[in-house]
Amino acid sequence: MKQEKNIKKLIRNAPMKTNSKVNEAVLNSLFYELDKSKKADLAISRPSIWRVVIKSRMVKFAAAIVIIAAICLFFTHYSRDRQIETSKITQISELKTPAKLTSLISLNSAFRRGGMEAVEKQFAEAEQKINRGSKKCITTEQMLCELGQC
Amino acid sequence: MVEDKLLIWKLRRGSKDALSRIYEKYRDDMLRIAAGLLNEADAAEDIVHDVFVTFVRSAREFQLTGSLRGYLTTCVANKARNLNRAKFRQRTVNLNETGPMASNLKRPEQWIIYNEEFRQLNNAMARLPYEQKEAVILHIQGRMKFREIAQLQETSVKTILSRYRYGLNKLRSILNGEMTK
Repeated sequence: MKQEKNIKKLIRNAPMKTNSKVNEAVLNSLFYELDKSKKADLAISRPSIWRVVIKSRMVKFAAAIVIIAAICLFFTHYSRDRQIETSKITQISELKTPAKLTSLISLNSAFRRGGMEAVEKQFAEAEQKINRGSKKCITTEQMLCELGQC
Repeated sequence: MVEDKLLIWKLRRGSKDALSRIYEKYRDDMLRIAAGLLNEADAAEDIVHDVFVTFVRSAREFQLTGSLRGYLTTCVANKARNLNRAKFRQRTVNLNETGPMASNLKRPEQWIIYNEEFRQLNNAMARLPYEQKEAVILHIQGRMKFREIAQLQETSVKTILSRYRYGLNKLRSILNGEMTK
């Protein structure tokens, strides 16, 4: 006599096997469906934003204002950046002589402005100016000759 | 439950690993339920395939409120019931006038591989009235509560309880009769 418990157990754990080849085929078809739904989703989502903007008058105005504001912001930010860059260049080139460029005060202010990088830049500029001033470069041998060592 | 929610979250973002995990987890149970409800391997396989395909298609908008097992079981049960109703309507045609049924034709590849014990159980299930069979299978195999089955069958919980009890008794007598033969 089969007891109720045994019947429940038999139903719950009914021994059943599946064909692995068919399993794989079904899974592949599901993957295909997933890819298809992904593509369909992308196709649907793209024009929907545009449609929302076009259909509603208020949204159209709001979108136009946002675009204009973004353009204005971009230009103001861009021009301010350019102003800062030019002022930096003029600040450095204002110090004309190499002596002024390498003075303690100017080096100190350069360090405050941009750290060691700015100091190095200032030194490089001073070096350039010195080289520009002298018409020919003096080598070490020439310098020693001039000092009467050769 | 938490794992299912995580899997669905991943599936909604298009994860194939999550899909294969869900499929591996519930495939056998759904096939068992479909085979028990329909007693036809081909129809059961088609229904389970359909359920998984529909689930994948609606994965983007899918919101899991209960358990995923419950959702898939309900889908299988609904589709099986619809198929049974359609078959019942077709029964008005004399069987002698019709050709061989699709399920009797040999297919190149079968998904469910039946063994003797499973076949015996399904044959016994086939002799139960559909409502009783549904109550027994959904409660025992689908692990659904009587309340949920009552909602599905649109009846009271008491009716479902009595259907379940009658079904189980009948199944026991059928299986015992087959054992003593």
